[in-house]
Amino acid sequence: MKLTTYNIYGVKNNNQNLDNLFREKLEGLEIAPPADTWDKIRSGLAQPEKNKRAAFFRLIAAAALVVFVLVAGWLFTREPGNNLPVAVNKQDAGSGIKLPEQQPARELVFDDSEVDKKVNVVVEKSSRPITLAQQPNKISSGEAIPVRGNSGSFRLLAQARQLLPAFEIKEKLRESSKNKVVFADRLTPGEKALVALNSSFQNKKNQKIRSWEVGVKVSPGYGSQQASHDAEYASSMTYSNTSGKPDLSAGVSATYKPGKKWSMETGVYYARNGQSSDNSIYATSEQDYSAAPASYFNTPVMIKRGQIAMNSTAGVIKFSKTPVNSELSATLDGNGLSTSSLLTGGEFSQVFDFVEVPLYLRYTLLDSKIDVHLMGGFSTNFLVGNNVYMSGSFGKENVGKTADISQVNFSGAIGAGIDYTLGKHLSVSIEPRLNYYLNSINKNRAVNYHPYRIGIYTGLNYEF
Amino acid sequence: MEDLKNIVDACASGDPKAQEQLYNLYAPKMFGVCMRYAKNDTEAEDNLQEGFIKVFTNIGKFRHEGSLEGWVRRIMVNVSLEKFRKQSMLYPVEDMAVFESQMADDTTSEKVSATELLKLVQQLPPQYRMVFNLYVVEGFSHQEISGKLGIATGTSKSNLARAREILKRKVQKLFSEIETNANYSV
Repeated sequence: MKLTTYNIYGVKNNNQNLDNLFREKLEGLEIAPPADTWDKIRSGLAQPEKNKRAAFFRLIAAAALVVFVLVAGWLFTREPGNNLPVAVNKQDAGSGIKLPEQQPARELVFDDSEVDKKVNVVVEKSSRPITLAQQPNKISSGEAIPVRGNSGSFRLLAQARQLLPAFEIKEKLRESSKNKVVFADRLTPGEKALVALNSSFQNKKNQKIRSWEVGVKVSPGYGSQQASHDAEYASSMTYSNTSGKPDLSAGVSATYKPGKKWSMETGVYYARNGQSSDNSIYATSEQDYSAAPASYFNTPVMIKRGQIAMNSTAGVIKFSKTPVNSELSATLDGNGLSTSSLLTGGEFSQVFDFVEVPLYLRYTLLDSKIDVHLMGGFSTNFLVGNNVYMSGSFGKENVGKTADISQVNFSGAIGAGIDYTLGKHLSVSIEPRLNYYLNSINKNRAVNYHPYRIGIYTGLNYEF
Repeated sequence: MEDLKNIVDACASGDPKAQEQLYNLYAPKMFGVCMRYAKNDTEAEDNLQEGFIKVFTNIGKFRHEGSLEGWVRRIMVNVSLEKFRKQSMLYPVEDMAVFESQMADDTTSEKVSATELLKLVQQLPPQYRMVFNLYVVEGFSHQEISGKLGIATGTSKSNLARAREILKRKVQKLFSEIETNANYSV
């Protein structure tokens, strides 16, 4: 190579030669890498698989827990007993007797176990034996007829020593489900007819009570968090003001109602939790920012192997890129933990998206056209989104993720609400609810971060 | 090359021996690439590591059209550029003093002139270094460079010009020293 071609005349020529020099020497340049590089690569390849497997098992465990709680809850809220029609005397079978509107529903509750053990059979000579009717309107006397209870058919022929009027039966039996069914032979014909018709009426209503309902729920609300940090972590955070955000949550639900009072809901909801930081004013006179924002965000950051990390309320932010309009400068008077400072105009927000699978119990306080209920329960929440944004005069930019956030989290909820029936199957519900995360979603011990949400859940439900 | 295809397929199914083979085949050259973009050995090693991890993770996607070496090289360049982008604000482009004060080592051997030139490139300010490498060695156009680095084509051109100026000065100094020494040898 002729070195003397490097002269100040003919710039293009000069450039060509320079380029050629570098290109020829550097294009195929081979340098032996350090000896341990391959081992590092090997371990780097092995890692992600291990993490994937662990994550998979955690998901399976969480799903199993949800199923378990669901089944346990279903078993727990099952009511023993069935409602049985009451037999009346054949002769007095009231066909054509109209049922008055204000007649309260008769509810006779049966407990299987009691029946088999002790059936009080007393025959009173004076009265005709009373039997149970197989179907509400068909009565026959003297036969023992199979009656449906919890554990299948069984036979019962019973006469009570102490006979209570039919109306009192209702009251007593409601209180305790362990009562045996007692029948009065002191019913007047009219009353007996009423009882019979009531029973048939009751049966239909009972069949409707054990029901399923699906619903769509939408909830505007306000999400915030309870956060605390250990001293060392906090010393690297410049801002301490964090505010919650209004947000929207929505989902679909499936509710099972084994009885009139209780219901159990599961479903899938989407929820978002985020918080933003306030700017801290950093006055600077040394540097000239061409698009200078009015206030600057100044926080110590750690830079390790090209990765910028910043301590923030929800956890350490790992930047995937340097935010627009920002500067990194070396910190001379740091506290030793961080070597640089990030100066930027803009607000950081750490936003997490969750898919929530709840298990909620509801208890109806008031049962009429407008029902009032209380609710409580738990939810398994899966992290599906983890983003950090910076917003400023230039718009909103995704700058990275928050580190150490758990994939699976649990929250508890309480609330109260009203349901309004629209038609045979449809109803609307409005339910204010508080949802609080029971675990800190950040696995880092230095950060305690519990999101919570207060929302009004409006739902449209269809029952079948 | 049938051999190469077999190695690639074996790597795709996770065969560690094949992976090591591929690594040994390309590592020296790829390390050379990473060294050009990095400012020092440590950074180059990091990028090489990350690059190969990306290679083995994605080798299943490599269709045997085009050269494997080119594909691996592109990954190395991209990893290097990504590192640069993360650090992009560390050294404001205008602050040249840090770089211009660095002096080239004094060497006379022809054999190490490649390494010497490499050192000169590493001493460039990061953005100049990126542009110079991408334009002169990789052969990208200013248009393509502006897309990769997120800068204007005008910036790319001026960066290249500045890089050339710096390198020219340093190369001249380097070779004048060599010439001077050569003049004294018999």
